[in-house]
Amino acid sequence: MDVEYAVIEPRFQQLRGNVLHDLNVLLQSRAA
Amino acid sequence: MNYTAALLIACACEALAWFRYGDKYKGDKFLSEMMLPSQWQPAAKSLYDALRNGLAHAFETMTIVVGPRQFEIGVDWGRHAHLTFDPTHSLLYLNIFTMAEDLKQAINRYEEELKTSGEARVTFHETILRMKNSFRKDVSTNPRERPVWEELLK
Repeated sequence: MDVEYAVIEPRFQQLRGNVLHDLNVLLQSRAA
Repeated sequence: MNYTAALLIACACEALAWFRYGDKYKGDKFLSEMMLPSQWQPAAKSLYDALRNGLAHAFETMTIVVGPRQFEIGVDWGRHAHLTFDPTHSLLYLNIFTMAEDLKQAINRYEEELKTSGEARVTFHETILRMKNSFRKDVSTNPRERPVWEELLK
């Protein structure tokens, strides 16, 4: 079975986006 | 605020590990392989457990005991270098800014892996499919809670 990157990319980017958004909010609130 | 970012990073390791290895509860493996220097990798499981399980269950890091010695994890916001031990205060410092940067780089490396490795993509995809069936809370056969939910959702 071969899976194109395009098939999994939305889920990967969703995970990355959620993690990094919340992490950046925490880091910035600490720096403020 | 001190602990929230550390907990988020630990939980992110667990989520990423699920996709990378196809198994739950492998956050220590992701931390070890993707975010720790080689000399720390053999200690990844106890370090990860003391951080993740301590914060997730008690919002407090767990004491690490090594024979007659014991020490705490100091979640640090820039005053101490990452993974340095202070024997005077028995504290192992984890620098949050370093961990955050390490996590970002780990995610970028994992993305490259997904673009170049068919095996990595298959593992990721199989995890998505398994999650669809297993990552849910089914109260259908719970005689106490099902009617409560049905009433609440009217």
